Amino acid sequence: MSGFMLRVYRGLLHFLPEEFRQTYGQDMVVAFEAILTRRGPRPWIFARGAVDIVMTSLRLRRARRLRPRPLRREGLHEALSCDAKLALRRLRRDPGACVASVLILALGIAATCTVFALVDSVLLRPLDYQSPERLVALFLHEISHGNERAPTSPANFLAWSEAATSLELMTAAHPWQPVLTGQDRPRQLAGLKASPSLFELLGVAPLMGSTFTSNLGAAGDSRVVVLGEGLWKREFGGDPEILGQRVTLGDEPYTVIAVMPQSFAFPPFWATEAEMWAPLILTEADASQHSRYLRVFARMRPGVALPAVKNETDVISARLVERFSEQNAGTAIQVESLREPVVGDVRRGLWVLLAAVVSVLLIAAVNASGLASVRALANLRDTAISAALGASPWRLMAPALLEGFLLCLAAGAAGLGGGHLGVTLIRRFGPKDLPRLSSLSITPAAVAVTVAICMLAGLGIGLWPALRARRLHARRNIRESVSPRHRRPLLSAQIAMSAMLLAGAGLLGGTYLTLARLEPGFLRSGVLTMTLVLPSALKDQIVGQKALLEQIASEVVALPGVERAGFVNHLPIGGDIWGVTFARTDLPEPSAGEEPRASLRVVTPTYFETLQIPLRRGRVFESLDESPDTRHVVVNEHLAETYWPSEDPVGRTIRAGGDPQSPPWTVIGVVGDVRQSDLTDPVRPELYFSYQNNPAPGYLMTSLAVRTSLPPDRVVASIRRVVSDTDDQVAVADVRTMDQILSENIWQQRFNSLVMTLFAAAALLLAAIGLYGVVSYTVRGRTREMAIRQALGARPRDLAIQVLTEGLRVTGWGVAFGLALAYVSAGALATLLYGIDPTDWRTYAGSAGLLTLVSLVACYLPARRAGRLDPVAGLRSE
Amino acid sequence: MGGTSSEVKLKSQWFQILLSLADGDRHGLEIMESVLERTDGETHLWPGMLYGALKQLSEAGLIVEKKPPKPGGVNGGNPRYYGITPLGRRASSAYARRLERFVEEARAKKLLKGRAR
Repeated sequence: MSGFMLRVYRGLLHFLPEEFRQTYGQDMVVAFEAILTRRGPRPWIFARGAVDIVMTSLRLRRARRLRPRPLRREGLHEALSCDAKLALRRLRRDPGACVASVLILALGIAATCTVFALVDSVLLRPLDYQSPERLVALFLHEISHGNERAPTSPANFLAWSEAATSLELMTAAHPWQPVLTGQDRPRQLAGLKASPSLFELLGVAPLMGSTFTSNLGAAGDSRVVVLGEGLWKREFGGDPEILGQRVTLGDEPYTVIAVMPQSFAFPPFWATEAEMWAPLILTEADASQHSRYLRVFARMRPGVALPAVKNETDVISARLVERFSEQNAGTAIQVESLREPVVGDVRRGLWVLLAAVVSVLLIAAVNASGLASVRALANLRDTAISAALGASPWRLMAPALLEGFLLCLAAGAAGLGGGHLGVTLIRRFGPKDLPRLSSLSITPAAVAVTVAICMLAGLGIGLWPALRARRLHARRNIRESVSPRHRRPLLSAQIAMSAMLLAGAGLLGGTYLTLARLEPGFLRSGVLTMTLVLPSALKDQIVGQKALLEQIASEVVALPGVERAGFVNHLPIGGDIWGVTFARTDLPEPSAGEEPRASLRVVTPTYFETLQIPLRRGRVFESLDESPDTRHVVVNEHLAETYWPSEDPVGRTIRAGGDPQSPPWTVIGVVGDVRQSDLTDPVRPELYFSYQNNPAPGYLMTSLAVRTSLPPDRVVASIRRVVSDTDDQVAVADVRTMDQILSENIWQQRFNSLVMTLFAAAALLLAAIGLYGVVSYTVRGRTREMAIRQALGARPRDLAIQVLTEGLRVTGWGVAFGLALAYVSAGALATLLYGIDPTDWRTYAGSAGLLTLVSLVACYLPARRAGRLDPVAGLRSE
Repeated sequence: MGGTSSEVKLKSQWFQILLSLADGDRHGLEIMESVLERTDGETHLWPGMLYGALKQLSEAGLIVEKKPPKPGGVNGGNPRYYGITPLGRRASSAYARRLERFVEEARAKKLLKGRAR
């Protein structure tokens, strides 16, 4: 019995604190055994022993709680949780400043997270194809015209793919916009015709079915089509039986063989709206085809690097210039990683935005650290007492550091949420032309960067108060000076960054405004445009096409609210550009590759009045009923001035298309210059032909431009009706106003200037808050000094002016330094600017003025407070 | 923890323990038994109470742990031995004098017969 009791007693000892049990446990068992021996193993003896253990345990634990513990013996975990509690208690003491810090930081982190996600999704993440780093795009570099990314001809493509050994699966493609018929109304679709090796090149699996492969060769089975998931759902209701069905595209039957997933997009940089793919079969006959309309893609063989490919293509290109001397003179092959044409245009802009957002983040962090150091001053007493009680330097620093981390943890969580919102907003409302917009998301890299930023910011914010606490440990001096003098360089740095951002925003904003106001060479407002696809029966039928266009134009003009209507093969700014070579007939024939080149437009006579392109000399086409032998052409001012510098071109003749045997064209008029593909592009020579003698009758697409006195959307339905009443085989697509086209054209400048302005505004606000905080803190800290000066005869106005001057001195340094930095780094912005010099002094002066004004406002309140000080109360204050 | 003998407030159990140690070093069980004997079985120091008090007395500097006089002690274990410190001696004599004052006062009030020795 007593053995059992002893065993249970031994077990009960575990109620005692570990340390006590280790030391005294064995002796206690011996003592209890002696008691049992003396008094016998009675239950009440055992119960009394058990109660003794429990009471002792409670007593010891209570004593331990009350006793000041030596800090060194604590575990890391215990110390951390204790310091975290202290940090939380300190933060709760000043909830306003705490919420302000979190908000300021969260804004900075959210903006950084959004922009980094944008940079990562667009620039850094590999393209969504198999081994994308090995994919390249090949272009024809038209050296004499300065066009590095021109399409190439079937003849060149066939020669390239035969000769290149460093590349495999070379694939040519061209846009394909067939009309889908057999449904309730014909619809123009966007697609791509590409060599059968396309899907092997990209290595993307279909959602269903199987795609065409390079084994597809015989003409018989080339009428197959692969649909995109979006198109499949939209036009075919997501029919699960779609595979094997026949669809009529451009009057030809195609069999649907596969559906690609929604995430698949190709090509990624031009004709990006393509959502169906059909094989392009080039035959022997194409080996002598020299019109340039193909874009070429290929995969580098494993282990081959881009420079090796470039060396090889240089050799091939030199050989081809010899072989097709007439067609290939002045050209070379341009090979680029596929990523380059996709993101090359936006890269600079996105990096600039990232730099800007990092500046905003830094300003936010400096502000939050300012708030933290004010809080640290309030906690100085606590810290001093801890130091006096012998807390180690680490224990003095820990609460301040943890405060910083806790703030940044909260701000980081809010910032990630904000980043998610930002990314969602950009995906929904952002510029449609931003490459890879649909795949924009908060990437793991963006999360990692955000977390890293939080850690750094936490350290940055907590470090100063922590070091201060440590210094206190060294000096044990509670009455240390609390002047925020040391914050002035930081404040100046904040203002300098704001100045840089303001100058950048000013330059980008100036670019956008210049472009938005730029006259494109025609009257942009009140013009509605749409693309019409003529029935394929009219292919090469100049007369038939002409009759149809005339009929549609005359009926559209008869609609209420419509003033003018005209046709053009490709609209300026929004449309494609075809080039044509030409030569003056009165001069010797230029050598191959040296012929002047102009954009080719085919128009109806009313086109010029519709867009109000001014006539400078001669006349424009009068009607489409002129004799078929009249070969008339209208030129733009730039062409006239370049090729007839001191003569009147009207009545002169040219030969177009490089065939010296073709009959000449007579220039009948000169019209004003029109911007062609981009508002920022320089004006180029332009030749206008009439649909009367359409030089490209095989092309069935045309654009209708309508000038209307009503809001354009009110006439769209009636125009559609007129078109389908005239010929129900004509498809209407791409209905937009000219204002929309122009505005879409400068999306990048608008986006850059908008985002930069937002960042600059945030920076300005934060800098102003920082300045206000420091100046008012200085005034509070110097109340006594100012009171003494007042007692000695200083006027209130003098004190106010002194405070203002000090604030403005800090601003002055910041502005000077910031603008100097902006001036030095202006080169980085140069390629993003248009019509404004990167060192435009007005922008710099404006930024300086704005910052000074805002600083004045931020310093005014504390200065006024200084002026209204009551000297008696001031003298009494500590 | 330091302090003069007059500052140290003793509990009666602590005084009994110090009293047991006044004439030599002892281990816990011996202390328990001597207290029990001296108080005619009235003050029974249960093990938890005893060792809790020994711990607190050590921390207060009134007793100190001593080397066992010879190895292989009680019941096959090696019990800890304790000895009184000068501070402990002063504290217990202060406590005894206080008790003496109470006894004399009781005698003066005729609560006790006979004179003090």
